[in-house]
Amino acid sequence: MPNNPTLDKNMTETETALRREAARLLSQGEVAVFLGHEEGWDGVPVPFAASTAAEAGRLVWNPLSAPHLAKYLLDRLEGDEKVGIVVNGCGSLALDRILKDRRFPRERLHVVGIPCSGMLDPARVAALSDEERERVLKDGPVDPGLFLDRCSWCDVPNPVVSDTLLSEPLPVVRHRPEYPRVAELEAMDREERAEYLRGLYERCIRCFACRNVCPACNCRECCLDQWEPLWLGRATSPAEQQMFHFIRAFDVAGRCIRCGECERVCSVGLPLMELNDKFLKDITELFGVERPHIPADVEPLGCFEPGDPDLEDHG
Amino acid sequence: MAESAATPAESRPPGTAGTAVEKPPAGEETREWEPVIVGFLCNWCSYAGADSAGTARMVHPTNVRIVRVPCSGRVNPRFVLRAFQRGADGVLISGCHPGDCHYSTGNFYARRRLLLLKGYLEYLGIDPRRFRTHWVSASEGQKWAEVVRSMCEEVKALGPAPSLGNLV
Ligand code: SF4
Ligand code: SF4
Ligand code: FES
Repeated sequence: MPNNPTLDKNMTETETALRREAARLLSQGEVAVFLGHEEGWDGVPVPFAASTAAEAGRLVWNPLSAPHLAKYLLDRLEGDEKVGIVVNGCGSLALDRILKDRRFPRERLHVVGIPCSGMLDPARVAALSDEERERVLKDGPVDPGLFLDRCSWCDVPNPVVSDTLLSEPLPVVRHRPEYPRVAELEAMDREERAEYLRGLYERCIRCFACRNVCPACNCRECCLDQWEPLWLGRATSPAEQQMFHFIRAFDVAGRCIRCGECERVCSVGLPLMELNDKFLKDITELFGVERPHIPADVEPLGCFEPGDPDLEDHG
Repeated sequence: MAESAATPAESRPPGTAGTAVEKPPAGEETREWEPVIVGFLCNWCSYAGADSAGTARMVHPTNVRIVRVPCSGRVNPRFVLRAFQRGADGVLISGCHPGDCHYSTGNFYARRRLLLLKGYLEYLGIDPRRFRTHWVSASEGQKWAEVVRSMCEEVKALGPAPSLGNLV
């Protein structure tokens, strides 16, 4: 594992600073609304839009503040009011994705950044006993397996977009992404893998949570909802399920930030990163893009090199 | 009524996208099984190349059902997966040689996309030999005939593509 996520010991102070900054922005009229999290069910933070300084007091920042917020900007496209938003490292990649896809104007944003050394997976923490959970959330130590998968490969602890930073930037150690799950699947024989994936499609209930949460799935009109042309049949036949998962993964290929939010929110716990990671891995191998999950000004499929591998040699 | 790819949306059964590729009549003992290959040919080079093969009366297998597209860059990867789902045994994409695209760069973009697609189809369990891309210019009737012949032989040897479980 290339990274050792840890919990920030100063999260309570950070939370206080966050509330203070959000309240300041709202009361001085710098932003009309501030996107953050509030305490949700079972103590797991849920996305929350504060629109007054008093509401800013409800904002939370703790080891379970995992949900990314950038996608909610698309609900606020209309009008010209400014929006505040809090992001950590990976949250800023999601935000950058939306900005690089030119889906929200940077001028309308005030970004509050928080350097982040790791976040816990709410589902894994929820599975602990009450005492265990309390101990983990209070003062650790924390089993590395409780962190979100994305923390284990993260090398962007500091927000890549921000107007205010709430704490000192953390040291950065860069490493090459690895894709162990893809390597395992690639090692299976073709029929076995097809069978395995069929099992995955079968369990999908097509709730579209994966698409809805994804910062790279940000089109104005989604082809999955279109009736004419009917890209995706409404029947849940194996073929339509396969097509759904193909479209979902292929259309974000080259823009996926590897946040794993799709997998985290999946209603039936499907390992969706096995489909996304395949593209990330191939983009590196075929086009030499070392860190394909970092939003770039030109995405790998939005450009080409005359010397790209030739298809005729590939059969 | 025989359905074709151009079936208007209103007459489709609800919940289905497009229609199945028609297979040549099967089950007649006297005829051996023939693969169905769907070919997406760019209008400016490969379609003209296939045409010149015809004009020159070159003989090649007739298994390729040609869909004419304005440019190889027009081929949405979904078309390819859909073709396989609707019963194609192979899919062939053919466009202008890199550098010769009528729209200058369409095939360069297509190349990146199709390279990713190729690896992905195999990941999904489709034999990569069933999916090929070739660059055939308007004057390369000979090459077109050769591409069709070799692909047909290869796919024939592989046998019918495994069903992807479509309801249609
Ligand atoms: S990991 Fe999933 S949710 Fe995140 S950008 Fe990639 S496809 Fe979208
Ligand atoms: S979140 Fe899971 S169950 Fe819902 S549509 Fe996506 S893969 Fe299917
Ligand atoms: S016009 Fe032939 S490939 Fe673009």
